[in-house]
Amino acid sequence: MNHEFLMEVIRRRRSVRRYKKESVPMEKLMLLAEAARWAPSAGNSQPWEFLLINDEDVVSALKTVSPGWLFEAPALIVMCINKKRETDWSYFDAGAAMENMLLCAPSVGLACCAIGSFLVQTVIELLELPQHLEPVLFITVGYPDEEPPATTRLSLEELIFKRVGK
Amino acid sequence: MRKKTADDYLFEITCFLIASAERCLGPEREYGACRLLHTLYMLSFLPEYLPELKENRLLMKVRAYVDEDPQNFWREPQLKKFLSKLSMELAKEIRKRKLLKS
Repeated sequence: MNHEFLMEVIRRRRSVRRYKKESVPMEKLMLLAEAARWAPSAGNSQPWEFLLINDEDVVSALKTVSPGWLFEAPALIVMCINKKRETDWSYFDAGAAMENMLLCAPSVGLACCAIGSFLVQTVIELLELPQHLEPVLFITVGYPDEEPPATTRLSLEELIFKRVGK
Repeated sequence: MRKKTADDYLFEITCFLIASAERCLGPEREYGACRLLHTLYMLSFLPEYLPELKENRLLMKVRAYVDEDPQNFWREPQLKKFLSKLSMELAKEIRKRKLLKS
């Protein structure tokens, strides 16, 4: 594996909020779900479960109850925790699965933005989710219509409390 | 998808405000100013649905500010500066509209 290439993918990831109107085929959403499937999870519990949505009426309805969702998006992935496979670490696991999707997206021409702001109960009602599925993240998906600059990052000196050993 | 009516758009704003209020009492306590700015942004589109409304200069300034960079919704020093500038313009606008007698 090439380290520089991987770091480039990681560094170039952006939260894209403006998308072209073009719809996203279900096959492409499946590619993102496939990337998420390979994320690590506590005890290999794989607590995630996804709803892949490219129906514009449904996407639009969900947007109305998500204050953190700024602009129109043609598609959405709703990440849920399946309570039948849940552990104390499921939220971390969901984060790892999300990151896999975000990193994969540009490789198929897409861009994403993860959103945690939505009315959980209303989403459960609208999507008729069974009791064992808890929606924890929205991931908007579309073809990017902006190239946001990189946001600032804390330096390694600020992030590494201590180096122990040689 | 059918074209949005003024009624649809008002409902959208209502949903946004209900959702924002609920979330701001919980994990998004810090987002209050950002959500209010977003509401102003949404209101700036109202004349597209209700042609009898005139374009509102202050709302258009909010729209331009957000459209310039969506990060402006929550980037605090800039947001504070922008709102302070807008507050000054508000005084001018109130005078212009003769809401003040003197």
